[in-house]
Amino acid sequence: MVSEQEILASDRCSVVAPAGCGKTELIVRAVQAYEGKGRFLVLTHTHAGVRALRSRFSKRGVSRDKFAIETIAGWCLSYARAYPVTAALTNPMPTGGEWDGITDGVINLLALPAIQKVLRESYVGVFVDEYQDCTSTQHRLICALADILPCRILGDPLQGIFAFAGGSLSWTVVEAAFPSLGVLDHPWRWDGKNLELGQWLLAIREPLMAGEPIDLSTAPVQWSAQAPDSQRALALGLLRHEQPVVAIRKMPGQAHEFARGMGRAYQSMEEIECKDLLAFTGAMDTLQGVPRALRVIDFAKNTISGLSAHIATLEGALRTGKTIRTTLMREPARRAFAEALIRITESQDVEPVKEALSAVVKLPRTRIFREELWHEARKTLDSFDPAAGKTLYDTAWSMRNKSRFIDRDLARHVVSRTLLIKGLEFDHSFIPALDEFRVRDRHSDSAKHFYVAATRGSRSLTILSNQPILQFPRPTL
Amino acid sequence: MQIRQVFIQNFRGIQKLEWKPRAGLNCLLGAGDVGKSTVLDAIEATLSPKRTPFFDTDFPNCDTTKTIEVRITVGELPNELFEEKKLGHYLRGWTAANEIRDEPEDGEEPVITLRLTVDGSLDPEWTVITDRQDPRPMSSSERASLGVVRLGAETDSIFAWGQFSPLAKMSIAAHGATGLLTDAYRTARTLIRDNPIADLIATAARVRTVSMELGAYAADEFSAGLDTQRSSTSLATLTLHGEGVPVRMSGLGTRRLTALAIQRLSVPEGSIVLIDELEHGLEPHRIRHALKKLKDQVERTGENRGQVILTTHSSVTLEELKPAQLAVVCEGTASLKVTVPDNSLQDLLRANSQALLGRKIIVCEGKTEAGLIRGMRDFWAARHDGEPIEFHGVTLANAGGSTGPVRATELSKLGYKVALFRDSDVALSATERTRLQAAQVDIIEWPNSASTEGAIFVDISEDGIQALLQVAYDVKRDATKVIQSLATDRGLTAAPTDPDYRTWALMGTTDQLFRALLGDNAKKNSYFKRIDTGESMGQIIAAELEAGRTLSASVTLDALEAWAYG
Repeated sequence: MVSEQEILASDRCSVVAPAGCGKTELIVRAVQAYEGKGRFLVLTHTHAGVRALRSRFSKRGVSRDKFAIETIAGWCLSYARAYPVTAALTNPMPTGGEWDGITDGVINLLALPAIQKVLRESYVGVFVDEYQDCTSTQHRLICALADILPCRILGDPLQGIFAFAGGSLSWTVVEAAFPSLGVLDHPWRWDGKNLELGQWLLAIREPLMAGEPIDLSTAPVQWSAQAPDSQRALALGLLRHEQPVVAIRKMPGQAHEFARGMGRAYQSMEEIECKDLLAFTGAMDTLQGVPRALRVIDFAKNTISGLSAHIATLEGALRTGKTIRTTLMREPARRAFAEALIRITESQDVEPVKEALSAVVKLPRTRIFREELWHEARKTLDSFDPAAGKTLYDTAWSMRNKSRFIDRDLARHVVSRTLLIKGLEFDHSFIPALDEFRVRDRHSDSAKHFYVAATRGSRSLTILSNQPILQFPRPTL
Repeated sequence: MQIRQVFIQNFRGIQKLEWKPRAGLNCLLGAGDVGKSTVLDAIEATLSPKRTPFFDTDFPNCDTTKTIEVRITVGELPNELFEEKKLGHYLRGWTAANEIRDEPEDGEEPVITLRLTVDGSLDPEWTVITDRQDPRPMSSSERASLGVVRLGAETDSIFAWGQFSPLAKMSIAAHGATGLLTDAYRTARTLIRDNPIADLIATAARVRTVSMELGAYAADEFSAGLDTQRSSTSLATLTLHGEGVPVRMSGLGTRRLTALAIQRLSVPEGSIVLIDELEHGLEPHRIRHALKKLKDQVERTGENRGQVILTTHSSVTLEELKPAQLAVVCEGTASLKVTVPDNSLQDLLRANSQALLGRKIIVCEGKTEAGLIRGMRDFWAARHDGEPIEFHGVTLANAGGSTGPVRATELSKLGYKVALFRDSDVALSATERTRLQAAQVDIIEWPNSASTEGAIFVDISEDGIQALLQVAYDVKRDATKVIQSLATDRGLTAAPTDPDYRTWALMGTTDQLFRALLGDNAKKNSYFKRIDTGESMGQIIAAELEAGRTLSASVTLDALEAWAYG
């Protein structure tokens, strides 16, 4: 256990914080315990992380002038915008690949005595949360900051699942720059709910990191052997708790398929940037004629279950260029859908797209299993103003960008992926196909993904796999 | 804090002004109505936390369509302003070449640029500006940390512990207790006599020490006392007392120095002190002393030196300063020009500093010429509604012998209108003449390459000759020496004895040659190379002209008169 006094006593240190062991709490307590005057800069990676920290600070009643919470990217951007020449800022609204350049620019800025003075006058210290998600550029930035201000970093190498996004910082490198104060060792998340599970999750860290086998049959988890239909039965069984449940799959397609198979019982979660929404709106901007109508059908099929029977002929007719006789259609929703599709092929208007989507959900025995995507698409189409000079794609992008800054309204039962639920907390966690985590590819840190998935539920963990012995390749840490 | 650059546009009489004050002490200098105090007003309005009210009359010619704009770049910034939430993102760099760079680079001083704008709505707006961001409002409390202090026309309120008063600020600052003052007022009313308040007394003692250092004649003991002369209902009845007597009853000089001490103590170290007419109410030795103290503070090395910007009309102040510490303000085309004198003017500053207080300077080649003009002063005034040349901003500068052309050129570069009045028997070289003309110096000389003495003796009346001889007699305190010298020059073996020259029969020569002899001899013996004798000569000429006599020297004298009153 690392106390707030210990962390404050060290000007440059790191703490390993396993999931659910009070990492956020430690930051809050340390800031609260600091007796001097001044403000701490608390840095994390995502806007969701900022919100989580902020609400914890306010729950603890820490005075607002004692801390400032920012994403590393946001904080860098504010400095790069303030000193654009020195920071070599090229785009004040940066995207993907431009972020590394911004971080580099701010590292240059931090070399200036004037800026160092700004930092020393603004803050008494820095905390960096979720350090395992730092890119190596961000690590250089934090090291530069640590030369100016006391800097304490917290993270968990076993939860570093963003290697594909550049977050492949080795914890050995981290601890060389920030000497370790120790590992947090009390599973607060499970305390009072399922302490035994919490302790087991701490106990499996060593074997997971070492690539050693773990026996699920003796563990405090609900393990079942993989069998036809067992997924569905267990998933429905978990609903009887009437508490938040998360089912965790490896790939996006698998999550969506799971949701489709469960009808409306589980909602599939979208990633923040919502690529499918951007792809659909972008296609509506550029496609013309029949391909545009086919793209609408495609979108409907990907978000609504029970659709194929209704639209197979319609789709076939569009593809082969046959005339569609809407007058012969008896089902009103189907006729409305078909009429809208024809109009979609005839113009670039947004109205027929809206009509098509309105009609398609009225078809009997259909269910939306990607509520969020569906809802966002409707919202984009409704708020689109052709006179404003923005494309549908732009409208969708700025809408999703805003949603970064507000809390998401999550369905109580969701199916998702480790990348989307890291940091989120549920009561029950369900891994319907553990073996899919073991797929080995270049970035597949299977053990880490498993650890993140297993630590989401504070009351129970349910696992389906081919055999009770779990073993992953030794992860890179 | 130190001001690095001042830019003023459309503020009162100032259409435009740009100035880069030096670190340390700066003395603004220039003719009476040129706008020196307006510069201080603009700096104070921009940097001080006070919300100065603006009126239509603050616009040039009351034209409120022209927006008032003052931009001031400040360096030696207080630490607190570096905060990210304050001005941490608005820093600019001050380069080694004294220029602004929008983003500071390594080795450059971090500075900020403050802008005050006032448009027709009369609503002042304070912002921090850069070339790279939108302007950011600058709050009154942020301006307060710049620590600008103005010593101008003081009111007695500075000696009272009033709300937001400097004395109150110091007393609070001592212990950081904001409630202290309120308590003090409550306590004061009932207990002041029996239970002196330690903090207020400590404050009073600090004021005493610093005001003494500045040269105030402070009483032996300073304390807080109830000023019964002031309204008893006002909170500000608690005032600074020296041995039981309110400080506001002291002499003007002491009051001003004490006020300066209070101001200085009430702001953080390194403040920017603006002083209107430092000399006001002070004897020369106290001006010198106060200046020395101010210089000791700001002319040292190290941090938090602050800066002093003062205006003066006192030659005593100027004598204490180096040319580099001066900033001469004068009218240029559609703008005010601020120029720092060249170091070569140091001698002039020591010997002839009052010359710099005018707008037009007649550089006189010797004391004869300077005295002569002084002697003509009343005569000319009578011809111009009783206004002496000083009313027209004319001052005189002596330049010993050959330095005249150089001085005149330097002064002209500072923006003064300059005439060079010279003895003409040694001609200017062609180069000198060209240089003077290029510097727009007007050259005023006697006709016929005459010396001043020669030019006067040539056609002055007999009474005039006698009067001039009398001046010479007085210089030698013995008429015979003067007459003997003349006789020797004439080659006479026996000198006349009667002081009245009319008995000399022109020493046996013609009137023309005798007059030439008088001129040459007077010059040789330097009878008039003194301000007082030169002045006597001027008075004698004036009397001649007054009597209606026509003199050949009039051409030159008329030119001088026209230049002075033009």
